[in-house]
Parts: sequence; C-alpha cells; structure tokens
Amino acid sequence: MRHDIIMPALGMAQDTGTLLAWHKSEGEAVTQGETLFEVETDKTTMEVEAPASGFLVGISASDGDEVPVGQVIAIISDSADTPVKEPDAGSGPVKAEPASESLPTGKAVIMPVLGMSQDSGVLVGWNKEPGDAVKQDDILFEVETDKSVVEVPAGLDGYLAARLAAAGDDVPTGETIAIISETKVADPVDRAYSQSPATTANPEEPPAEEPPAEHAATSVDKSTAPKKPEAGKRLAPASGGKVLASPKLKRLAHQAGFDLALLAATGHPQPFHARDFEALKNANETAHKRSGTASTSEAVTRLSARVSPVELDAFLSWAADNIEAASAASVIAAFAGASLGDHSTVRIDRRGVSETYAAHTQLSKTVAAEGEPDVIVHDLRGTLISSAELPPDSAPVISIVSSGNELILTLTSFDSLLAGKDAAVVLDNFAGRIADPLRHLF
Amino acid sequence: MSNSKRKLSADEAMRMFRQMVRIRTFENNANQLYLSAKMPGLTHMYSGEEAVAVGICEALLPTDKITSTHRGHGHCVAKGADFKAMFCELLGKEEGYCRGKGGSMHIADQSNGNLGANAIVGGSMGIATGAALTSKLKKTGDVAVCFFGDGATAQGLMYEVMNMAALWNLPVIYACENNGYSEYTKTEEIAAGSITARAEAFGIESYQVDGQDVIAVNELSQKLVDRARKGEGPFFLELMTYRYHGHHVGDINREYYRAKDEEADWKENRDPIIRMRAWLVENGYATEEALDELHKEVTEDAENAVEYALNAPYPDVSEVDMHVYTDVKHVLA
Amino acid sequence: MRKITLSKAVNEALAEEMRHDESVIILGEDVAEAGTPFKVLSGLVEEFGTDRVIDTPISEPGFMGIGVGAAMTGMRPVVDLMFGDFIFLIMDQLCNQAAKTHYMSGGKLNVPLVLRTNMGATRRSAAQHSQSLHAIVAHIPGLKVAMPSSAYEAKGLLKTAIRDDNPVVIFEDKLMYQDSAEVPEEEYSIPFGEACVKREGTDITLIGTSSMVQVCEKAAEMLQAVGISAEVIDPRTIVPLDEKTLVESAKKTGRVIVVDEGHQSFGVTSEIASRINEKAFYHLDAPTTRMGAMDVPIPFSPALEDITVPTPERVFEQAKKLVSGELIDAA
Repeated sequence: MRHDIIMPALGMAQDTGTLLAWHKSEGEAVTQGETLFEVETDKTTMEVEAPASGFLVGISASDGDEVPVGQVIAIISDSADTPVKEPDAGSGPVKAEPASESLPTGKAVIMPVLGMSQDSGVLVGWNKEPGDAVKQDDILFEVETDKSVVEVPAGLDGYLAARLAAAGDDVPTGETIAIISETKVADPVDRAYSQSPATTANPEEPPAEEPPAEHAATSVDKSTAPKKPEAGKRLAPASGGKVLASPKLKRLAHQAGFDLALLAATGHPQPFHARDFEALKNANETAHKRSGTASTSEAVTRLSARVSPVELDAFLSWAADNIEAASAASVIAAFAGASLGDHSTVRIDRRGVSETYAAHTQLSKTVAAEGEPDVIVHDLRGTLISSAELPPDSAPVISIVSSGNELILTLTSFDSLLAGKDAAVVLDNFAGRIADPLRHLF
Repeated sequence: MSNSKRKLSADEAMRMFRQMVRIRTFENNANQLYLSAKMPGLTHMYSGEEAVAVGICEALLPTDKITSTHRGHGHCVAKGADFKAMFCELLGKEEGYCRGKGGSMHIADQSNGNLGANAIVGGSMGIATGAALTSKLKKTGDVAVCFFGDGATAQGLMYEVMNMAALWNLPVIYACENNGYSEYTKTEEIAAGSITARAEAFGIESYQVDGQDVIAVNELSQKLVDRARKGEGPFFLELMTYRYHGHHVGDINREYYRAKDEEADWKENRDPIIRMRAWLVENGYATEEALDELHKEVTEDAENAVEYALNAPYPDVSEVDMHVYTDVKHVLA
Repeated sequence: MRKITLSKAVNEALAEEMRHDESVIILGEDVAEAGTPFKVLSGLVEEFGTDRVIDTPISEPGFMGIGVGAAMTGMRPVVDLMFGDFIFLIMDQLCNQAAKTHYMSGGKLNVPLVLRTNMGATRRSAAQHSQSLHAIVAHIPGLKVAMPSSAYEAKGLLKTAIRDDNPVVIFEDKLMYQDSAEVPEEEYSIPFGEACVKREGTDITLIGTSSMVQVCEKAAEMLQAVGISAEVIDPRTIVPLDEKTLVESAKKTGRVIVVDEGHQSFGVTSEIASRINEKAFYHLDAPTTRMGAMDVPIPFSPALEDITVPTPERVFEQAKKLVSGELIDAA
C-alpha cells in the first residue's frame, strides 16, 4: 500500500504551507503516528504525523520550501526503494509530469485550494511568459475562485519551463498547471489545460463533477423557469405615454386588438379596469372612422412579406369541398380578420368584385356582412400583376400578388390606424396563416 | 486498567478492542479525507474518546436507543454502523446512511437504534428522554443513552429533561463525555461547581468514571443499563476523557487554550487503545501478533470503504426536494 | 345538525384518536386534571389516565424535545403549548429537530407529532400572550401548519394532524374556543391542502385564515348590501397550501384581499398575494392586497389593541376601493 504524503490544508483560507523541517529522512522507516515533518501556515506550526507505517521515500520538498496545499511531498512505501527517479534529492525537483515525456524537468505548480469547498479554479491569466525567470514572491498567475480573484506567487525561484493551462481554463485543484525549472530551458512548453494528457491521467480523482448544490440550483431553476413566451401572446405596446390599466384589461385589449392609448386620449379616467372595456371599444371604433377621412399627407407604414402559396392552394380546395359556404374570399377574410383581432370586418377585393365579411375564427361562421371594414384585402392572385403597393385607405390595406413561386403580401396603412410593431404583428400573423393555414384552425 | 469483577469472555474483550480500533481508524481516514480536500465541509474527531462510546454501547442491545453529537462518529461505529455507509455519508454520497443529506454531523442509523447525531450542542437531550418515555409507556424495555459533552451541561434543556426523567423514572442514561474543553475553552472556565452534582440535585444517581478505561466504563454501564431496564433510572455518568484533535479538524493552532505537553501526556500515558492492548496481552486474551493482525484487518477495511465511498455516486439532483415530508414524494413538484 | 363549541370539538377529536390508537398521548402544562387554562382538555385524563395525559413542568423546550424523541420512537404525541407566544421558547426543538429529522436522515426517521397551540389578539393579554406566529412556523420546510376557522375545521383538521406522519402545528384562535358551529355526530376528518370556498361570489375574493374567515364572511355580507358579490375562501392549512383553488378564484373575480392575523410584513398575506400575482397576473383587475395585524407588538389597552387587527369594516372598505377601481398606491 502506498500512501501519499501531502502538504495538508490546515487553515481556513490557506494556499501554501512552509515546510519547516523533516523529522525523517529519505528511505527511513516510519511508524504510523510518528511525526514526519513540521509545517508552518497562518503563523501556526504543526507536526504532521505519518498516516501509515512504511518507508519514507520520494521526498520532493526541502526544509524551508513553501509548498502549495494538496501537493504530494513524499510517499510512504512498503519498501525503501524510491519509486521516483530523483536527479537531485537535496533540492527536491521531481519530474512533474511523468505521463508526458515532452515536459521539462522541474517543480510542479498546482492549481491551489483557495476556497472552503472548491473543486477547481479558473485561470484568469499568466503574469509570466514561458522561459521567464521567476522569483519566489513574483506573482505567477491569477486564479478566480468563489467569486474572488487571487494572485498566486511562484513560491520558488527558477524559470517558467512550462505553462500547462491557458487563461480561461477551469482546472481541478491539485492539477499541475506549470513547471518551474532550476535552469533555463531551451524550448519551454506553453499549452491549454484541455490539451494536457494529464487531465485524464489521474484515475484517483473523481470525474470533474459539479458540487451537488449547483445541480440542485439548476434543477430548481428548470422546474420554475417560465416557458418561452409565444410570439402571438405578447402585449401590443401602448402608443404614446404610459397608460395605467389593470393586467386584466390589458389582456382583453390585446385579444380584441384595441389600443389603450386611444381610450387615454379621450380623457377617460385612469386607471382603466375590465369594466372600461366598452369605453375602450368605442374609442377604438371612433378613431378608425375618423381616420377614414384623414389627410393623405399623414405618415404611412409599408411592410411586405413573402410566402409559399402551396399550402394555401391545397387548403382552399379542401375548404371549398368541406366547409359549407366557404370560398377563397371568405377564407382569406377569416385569416385577415383573425390576424387583426376578434370580430373584425374585412373587405375582400378580387377580380373587380368587392365583398365584405364579418370575420370569425371558425371558417363556417365567417359570413357576408355590412359595415366599414377594419382591413381591406386586394387578392391579386391569378392576375398578371407581380408587384403591388396600393395606397392606404380608411382601413389598412393588404395586397396579395403572385410572383414566381411566391406570394407577396404587402401592407400599407396610415400610421394613425396601424403602425410600427403593431403593423408588423398583423402582417406576420396574416402571412403565417397564408403560409400554414392549418395554424389558423388550431 | 481496572480489572473487571466479572470475568470478561474473550469475545467480549476482543470485540471491545476491535470497536475502539475501528473508531480510531475511521477517524484517521476521515481526517485524511479532510486534509486532502476530498471531503466537503469539516468534521469533529472522536479520537481519544473511544473507550466511552465502546464501553457504553457494548452494554446495550441493538434495540436500545442512543442520541449522538457533532462529535458522533465514535457513537455511530460503537452502536454497530458500517464503514462504507458512514464514509459515503461523510462524502455526501447516495449510499450514505442519510443518502448524503445529513453528512458528518447528522448520521442516523435507525437499524442499530442510533437516533442520529445532532449539530446543536445539547439539542438531542429531549430526544433521548422522549425515547425513554416511549420505552416506559410501551413497556419495550429499551434503554436510551444520551451522549453529550461537558459543553452541553451549560444548556438549559438538560435541566428541564433531567427533571422530567427523574420525576417519571425514565430509563435514560445521560452520558457526559467530559473531554476538558468546551469548544475552545477549558471546561473549568464554563462550568461552575461539580458536573455530577447537577444531576444529583434532581435525585439522579450519578457517577464519575475514567473514560479512558473501557472495562471500567463497560462494567458500570452494564450495571446501570440493567437497572434502567427494571425501571430504576435515570442515571448520570461523567466520563473523564480527552479529544486528541482540536474542536474540529481545522482547529490547528490551539496552544492558546491547550498545551502540547498535555496532549502528549494523554496520548502516551492514557490512551484507551494502548491500555487495553497491554491488558489483553497481559491477561492472555490475545497475542501481540493477533492484535497486529486485527489492526491490519481494520485498516484494510477502512481503506476499502474510503475507496468505495470516493467512487460512489452522488445522489441524483432530483432528490433535493425528497424526504421533506413523509407523504409527498417531491415537495416542489 | 348539532352545534358544539370549538373547545368541545378539539376535545372530541383527541378522545376519538386516543381511543383509536394507544400511541396517541398528550404532553403539556396543566393538561390533566386542570384540562388547560382554556378547559379544552377537560375530562380526558379521567378516560385515559395520567400515563397518556401527562402533566409536565413549565419546561416548554424540555417537553417539546421529549415529544420529538417519543414521536421518533413510536408514539404520536400531541404536545400542548399553552400560548402560541411560547413557540419562541421551543424553536430549536421544533425547527431544528422535528422539522429536519426526516430530511436529514434521508427519510429513515419520522416525527409524527402534533403541536397544538393558539393565536389571536383582542383578549387583553398584551404583547406576550396575543401573537399569531404561524407564519414563522410555515417558513420552515418540514412542518405542516393548520389553522381551523371553526369548530368543524378544528375537529376535522386535528384528526388528520394526529394521523399524519409529519410534525404538524395547529393554531387555534383562543377567542374562538367558545364559538359554536355545526359538527356532525359521526366521525370525519378534513384533508390537508384543500381550501374551502365558504361563500361564492364574482366581484372580489376574500381569502381569510382562522378567525379572519369570520371577518371576511361579515365583510362579504356588508358588501352584498352595496351590490358587491364577494367570494370567501378558507385555505384551512397554509402548509400545504391549496394554491389552485385560490388562483382559480382570483382569475374568476380579478380582485383579491388576503386577511390574516399575523403581522402583515413577511407574513402569510404576503406569501399568498405573491403566489396570486405570479399565477393569475393577467386576470387581475386590481392589486392583490394584504391585510394583516399591524407591525407593532400587540398593545394592552383595548383602545389600541382593537385597531391592530383586521376587522370586517376595514375589509369592507378596502374591498369597495378595489371594486370601484380606485388607484391603490399604498394599501
């Protein structure tokens, strides 16, 4: 049985310990409980006992050395034969990376344990270049752990012979991240931690698992995380200043396609509640009528969309066979009406014929009606016209033209009727239904 | 080492020795796990106090109840716990006694009557007394032992429950492990008067005993446990003992409250394991070779258990909201 | 149906459960011959003897701790804490021991214990005998908390509590012990986590706990007189909480007042209001409003004490404001 003798973590926030003196020498027999060495840390000195009986071999730190916590500094072995080749037992360099032949010889610098319950540290950056001479107190690198960044000194004099981790690498504590050699090496190593063969070379370390607390937090987040909002459910932003209204009225207004700002403009007392819905409806309808006589010089929104006609054609022929009184005009009217909001009135102009429908989400209930339209659709499919941008009218105008293998949908509207994001939502809704009519049914 | 009036059988003697070695070995491994940053949190070592837990628990049946403390690994081992499940618990692993939810300070082993370690100093005194009330009301014959330290004698709860235990003649034994230090303070600085006199004030029969002499502890415990079973309880024991480590594993720099010479004296001259080892050989219970062999077996057992626990899986994260209530599988679902 | 007092209902629940199960015992100060200062337990010691109705010294942490240990080893103790205010004396045993034992042991140990205690101000008992501290208990995972609003609930919830394998704390309003309500002759129990809709309404939801259910019911009567239809809901247990019933009612009426006798800040009203805001936000037509006890120690003087707790009149006024759509800046 082989027992590693490590520099113990003694204090609460300690990264290194100073080896004051060995009480045993290389190859000497030791008994469990005997004092092996004395260590000083946080102004405390402590005797460290042998964890097992055997022979002390492979001593890699000398009296006075400051050694990172967790570093193996000797081994208790069943025999006095040293398991590690040591060119210079006195100053104690070891081959830091026995698994990798290309690494220079020197003392290993490990990712230290800095926090109370820390498994790894993120290397923030190196303060020395490969090959640089380093002094014991020189800051060698910075490491981030437990939300604090700590500067770590080299701990010994020498040359930075290898850097085995790069800035940003998350390295388990105790892993070797650099080698400091006694003499300058010709071609120092410089690589990222993930390239290091040593990351898989230590079977005793448990796989780099996150602490359970972090798993727990993730799991709880998952169960309570809100679902991604569906695009259609977003509330239309109120145009103009801030309107005080209850969440319930805002939802009802959104569902009906009403603008709360139009109610605010009438001077209706705020905050608005569900009971103000009728007033909201009136304010919106009045505004629509008024805009019918609006001057043509006012601002106009123009938007267009391209969709494939394939699904629409199939759906129209299915609807003609399966839904009573359904026609291409009534289906498109239903789509346009639903894109605008519930209970909209839609005028369809097709081949010189003008029909008005009371749109309903159920296709069979979209029937001919009287009244001012909330939206006007020019269905120019099947004509030779391949591009259209009709002038705005007393209601927003949407034209549909065939162009090559696509349908082009163009919306024009006075800004006072429908503008900006709201217009985009309406056209997007409509285009979505044309592209995938089944979406309308569900 | 006191010589038992009753001749101990070889089985009894060797079992006590083995249990003490098991506790010491467990603690040495736990300490190594902490020092090498392999154990989350920290822990309180029972090393040095082995004769107390073993002397008492060897007088109990598996159905008898104990309550334990933050320094509780010794009680747990002495009451019959298994190394693997204990190390798994220390490392927060699923196969731990409490599925990793309790850790070092909360190991409970219901199958052996261990109602759990308690991280509130003196917090389990009511629980042990309540277990004795159950025994009396249900006439089960069980005895409850409440382990606590000298520091806990400063908690008011102790006086409340000793009062009721004495009023109701409950089969409970209050075992005060006086290791001389209440965390980082000498006991004489926190406890006025005599410890045993506290119990005597309630008319509770009280004894002070050498807690480093496992045979003395066991002999007295056998007597008191038998009498408690017959309804003659409660009893109070003050066991004079010593903790080799600091208050917890990180309490290294402790010369401001405890001299190294004093520690060395207890370790060299009063160690319960060294003393019993000599006694076993002297009285012909075992040879030095057999005891070495025993040590080796226990050491291997512990090392295997540590290795097993290090490689054992953590509980699935879905366990986080389990066991909050008995009748709700996932309370946050 | 017959009417009995809340005190008698509790007494019946205990007697029935003690007859069913020998492991049910009562532990507390003056529980035997005295039958407690409120005389709730009168007669039990005559039937069950002093081995099962156990008088303790005035040592709340001590007998609570003994209760926890007895529960862990096979008894079903009903620990009687004379005043809810004394819960601060037993916090370690209740919150560190009873509440955590099942979890810390990975499900191996259970603590089937009932802590019966009381709450409620306006009894002229001053600051240390008048508090309603259920929110503090409800904050600790591992404990269940029941708050009966009448004799009927008091009996049904206590029977469920005694049969529950977890620690349950029941807060009875000490001013309601002599209030009578209809209670069936035959045995029944009330499951935990099921709220009771005491009165249906469409304009506003009044959620009340314990005696505040009566306050809400009276406010609802007053609201009806002015043409406002109020729904009154009694959660009955706050842990577990029947969130679904509360949220559904909030969605239906769009307006909610939560009334509870604990201090308003960081209390039961805040918790319930938050859950409603989270789950019924887009259905709310008014801010969800809390009405708890004032954030002051309960004063002795009747002139002061009476204004510290919610009253039907104040709930009525608040409800009118919400229904009329008044801008609520600071409720």
